[in-house]
Amino acid sequence: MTEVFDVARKSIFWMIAAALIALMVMGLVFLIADFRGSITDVPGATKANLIALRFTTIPDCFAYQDEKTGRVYVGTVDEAKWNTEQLNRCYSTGYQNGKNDINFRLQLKDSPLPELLTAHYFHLDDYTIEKSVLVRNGDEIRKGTLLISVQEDVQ
Amino acid sequence: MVKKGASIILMIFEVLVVVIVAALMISAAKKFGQSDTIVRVTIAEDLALMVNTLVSIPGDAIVKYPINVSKYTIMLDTTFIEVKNEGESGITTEKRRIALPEAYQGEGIVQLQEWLCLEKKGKTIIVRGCKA
Repeated sequence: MTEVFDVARKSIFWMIAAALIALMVMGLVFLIADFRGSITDVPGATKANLIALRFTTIPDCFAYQDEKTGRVYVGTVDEAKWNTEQLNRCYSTGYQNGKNDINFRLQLKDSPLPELLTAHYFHLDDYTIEKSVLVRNGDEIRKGTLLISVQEDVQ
Repeated sequence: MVKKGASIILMIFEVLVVVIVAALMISAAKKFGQSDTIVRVTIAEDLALMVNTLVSIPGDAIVKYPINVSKYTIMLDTTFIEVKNEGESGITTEKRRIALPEAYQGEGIVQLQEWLCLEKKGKTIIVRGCKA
């Protein structure tokens, strides 16, 4: 009888131990993978700021470029370029997974110009970047503020 | 006699289980702890950021990546940057999406070269090897 109990006891012990060991191994794997992810992670704000640089620095986005000399006026927004088509030419998100990319909403503060949205922007702002710019409309130049609302990821 | 035999078999089984579990955990930790993985991910993230920064420069520019990339193959395309290396478990790849303006192109491949440069020429971003 004692022998039967011994074998049964050991069997139950090893069944429970096997389950616990499997959980421990899985836990270790997830812990290491999570740690690895955290040390290689780049803050979303860094990515967004570097992408947003282009809006006011290159003529393919909104920066004013003198037609005669070809000079690009960095920090000067050309009102003639202020439209959604230009924004899409400047920065586009992926067709299928665009909601997982960084999306933007651009506004010129105290200006009648409409706000511009990237294709997968759903008004779930994470934060807003503010840039002091000059706004050029033909020969007229005025001071302005460019507000860039950032949507990092839609969960 | 039967009891002694069963007890020995159980003991051997217990020792085997302990050895297998220890080997499993060491193998998993070693696989995930390899610095190659972390360096590869870091290079891919860094280069994606550098491409986005280069795009924002309103002219031509060149920048050197300050890490030795001789163990890696790096490829730049118009929509992604890819970092590959061959390790114990075969070829492993890290890919990051980049969003270039419509008229821009990305090109170039760097294989087993020590230093890497990113160059902007007009509307083309090129990845190529460069000198120290």
